[in-house]
Amino acid sequence: MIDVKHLTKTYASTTAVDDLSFRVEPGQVTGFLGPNGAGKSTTMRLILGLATPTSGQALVNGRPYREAPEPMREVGALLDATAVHPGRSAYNHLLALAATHGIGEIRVAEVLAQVGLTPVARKRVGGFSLGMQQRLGIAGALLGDPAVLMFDEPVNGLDPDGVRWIRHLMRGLAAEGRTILLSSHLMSEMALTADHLVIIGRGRLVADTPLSDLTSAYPSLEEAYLQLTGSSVEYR
Amino acid sequence: MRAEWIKLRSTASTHYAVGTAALVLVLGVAWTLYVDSIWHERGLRSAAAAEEGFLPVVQLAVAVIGVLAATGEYATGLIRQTLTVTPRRSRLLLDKAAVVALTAFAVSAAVLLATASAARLVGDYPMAELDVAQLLAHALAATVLSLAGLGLGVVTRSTAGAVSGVVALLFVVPGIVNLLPTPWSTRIGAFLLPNLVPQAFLPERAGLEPLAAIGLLLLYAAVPLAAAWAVFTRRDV
Amino acid sequence: MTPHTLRAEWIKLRSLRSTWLVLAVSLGSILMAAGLALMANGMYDAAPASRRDAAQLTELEDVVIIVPQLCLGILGVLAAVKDIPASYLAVPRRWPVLAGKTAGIAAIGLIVGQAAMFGSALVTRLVVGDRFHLEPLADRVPLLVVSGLSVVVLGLLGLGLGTLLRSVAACVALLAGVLYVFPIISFNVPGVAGEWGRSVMIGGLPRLIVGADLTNTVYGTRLSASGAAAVLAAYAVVPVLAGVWALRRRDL
Ligand SMILES: Nc1ncnc2c1ncn2[C@@H]1O[C@H](COP(=O)(O)OP(=O)(O)OP(=O)(O)O)[C@@H](O)[C@H]1O
Ligand SMILES: [Mg+2]
Repeated sequence: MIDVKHLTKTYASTTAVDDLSFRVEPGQVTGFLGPNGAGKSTTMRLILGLATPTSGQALVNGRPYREAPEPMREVGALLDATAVHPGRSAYNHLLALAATHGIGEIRVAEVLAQVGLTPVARKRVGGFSLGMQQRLGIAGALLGDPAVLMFDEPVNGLDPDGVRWIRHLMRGLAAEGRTILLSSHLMSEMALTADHLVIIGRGRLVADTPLSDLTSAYPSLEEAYLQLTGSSVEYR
Repeated sequence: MRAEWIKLRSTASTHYAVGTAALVLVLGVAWTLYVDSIWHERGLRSAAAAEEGFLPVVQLAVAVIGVLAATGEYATGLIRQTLTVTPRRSRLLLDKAAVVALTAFAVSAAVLLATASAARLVGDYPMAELDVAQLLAHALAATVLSLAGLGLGVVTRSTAGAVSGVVALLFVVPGIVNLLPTPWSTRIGAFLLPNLVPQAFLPERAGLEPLAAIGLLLLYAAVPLAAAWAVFTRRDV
Repeated sequence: MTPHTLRAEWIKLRSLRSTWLVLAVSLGSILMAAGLALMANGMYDAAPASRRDAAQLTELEDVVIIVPQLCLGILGVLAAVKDIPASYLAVPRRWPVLAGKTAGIAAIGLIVGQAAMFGSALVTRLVVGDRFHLEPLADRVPLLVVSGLSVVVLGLLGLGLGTLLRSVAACVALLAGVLYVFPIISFNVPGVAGEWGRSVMIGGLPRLIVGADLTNTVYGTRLSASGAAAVLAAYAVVPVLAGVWALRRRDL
């Protein structure tokens, strides 16, 4: 479970996240929506302790992420799939991450197979396509078999096959009782994947509601999203 | 060309490098004041002028500008976009070289002249006469170094590799040659980059004619740039 | 630091081509010493017998040490700058990551430094034979050990600077600054400040530490052996601690 409480993050000239509170419950896929620059990635980085909040806090399973004794076994995350060392092979990249938690080579081979990268496991990541990098990032998130998973635009760059694969993966993980937070700009895909939606604009909460409530009140999710965020698209 | 200028000008690392070079002015004044404060009691007959002491800082900073003009684009992937916009690679390399050279020369000449003038303004310990021609020659050497950096950056596509290459040209190789037995150290030393400008201005002590020294200096820029051109026009990015 | 983070950092180091390249160049210093010794031989043999006795050769291990020093510095910089946020997701307390890197770089520096020093010293003497009056190897053991350790210091200096500044260009330039520019500047500074500056330059510290003669060098002698040891250690410890401090408080 993820619990975001009055989270605020201010950079020199912008407030990226502004007094944001919501909860992400287990057993369902929670879609995380908002226009470009709304603060989705920043919120995820705050939850994961990569950035320090200006005020407020984010708890994962009841405590700050940084205090987790074995963080990768509790939380898995894909943030920026391109943030890998281009000179390292996919296998070695995952092996180094796995080693931090004493996770062995068998599990590394398992997740590589799960994301379909086994044939290129020994190739340098620098030569990977965007979709392959996304798959590698997802493999890294799955390594510790965590109960909480966060994905920042994982569908970006995936082929139609990959998009469907992600959808099934997310639904499957949620069905196993895990907590899933998933950001994306693809409304049609989100409508098929998510059970619950958190929508933000300019760092503030716009909606925190079951998907079905929105789709019954509006003609489509896209329509709902555009109307809800219409007033918050100008950049600051 | 304009595009290259905007890129160089708008990069934070360029500002840091220029700032570092400019810091030399401040340090130079501090140096001068310090030497001034002690030269009477110590009876120094002469001491190095500030611009001489801090020359390596300027050279290194300017060389880094050249390296980053190349490797910065590879590191960020901007190079692909640049090549889409300017597919004629020879032209692109030429533009880059021109912008780097002008910037490097302007920055190093300005810093060296300003430091030298400031030192003579505030200091009255005995130091060498202000020799504008020699300072400009040092600025030229710094420019050569930045072009060598650009060339090495294109060839290696690695900031670490290219900066090391420049450091090797400027310091490592001269340092090692310097420690060889005497006839060798001076004989080989005559051809090394840091010794070329002094040879052009002190012909009586030189192994090379002034013109030969300057010509060799230019080769230090031309060879890496030619290598860069050969690689850059053939290689996939 | 746990054995786990240590192993992770080791995997990261060994899985990069640049690590192996840097190691190869470091140990290339031994070949370099051999080449320089051959050149010196040629010169010696060409000289008339009467002048041979006066012919002098600097101990070549002191000359080529700069290569492993710079290489380890660069390795440290790359290990710090090129690391990815995912590393800190796996180890959110962050400092164990740097501790693991510190151990890895120190271990590599220890092996490479000693190998390069003793290797080049041995090779020089083998090639030169009885030509120049080089100091016997046995008398130089303490100096070789301490000089080899300075390679570790450079590695950790690079690591600390890399963590602090996160820029390869700036850090490699600073390494060149510490090894070359600062010494050049301090040699030109007259008076007490210059004397102190010349005394704390990395190049002179190993000799100060083992009490070797510094009269024919450009370095100063203001420091006692233990003072010099403290300064040499500070070159490594201060940047790494500063790196820990910066790592704790910044956003990644
Ligand atoms: N390190 C930073 N320094 C300064 N400003 C930042 C930083 N990171 C994010 N911001 C600002 O915070 C705001 C939110 O950015 P964020 O990346 O979280 O948006 P996002 O919702 O993920 O957008 P997108 O859909 O485009 O990925 C933006 O205005 C951005 O410019
Ligand atoms: Mg984002």
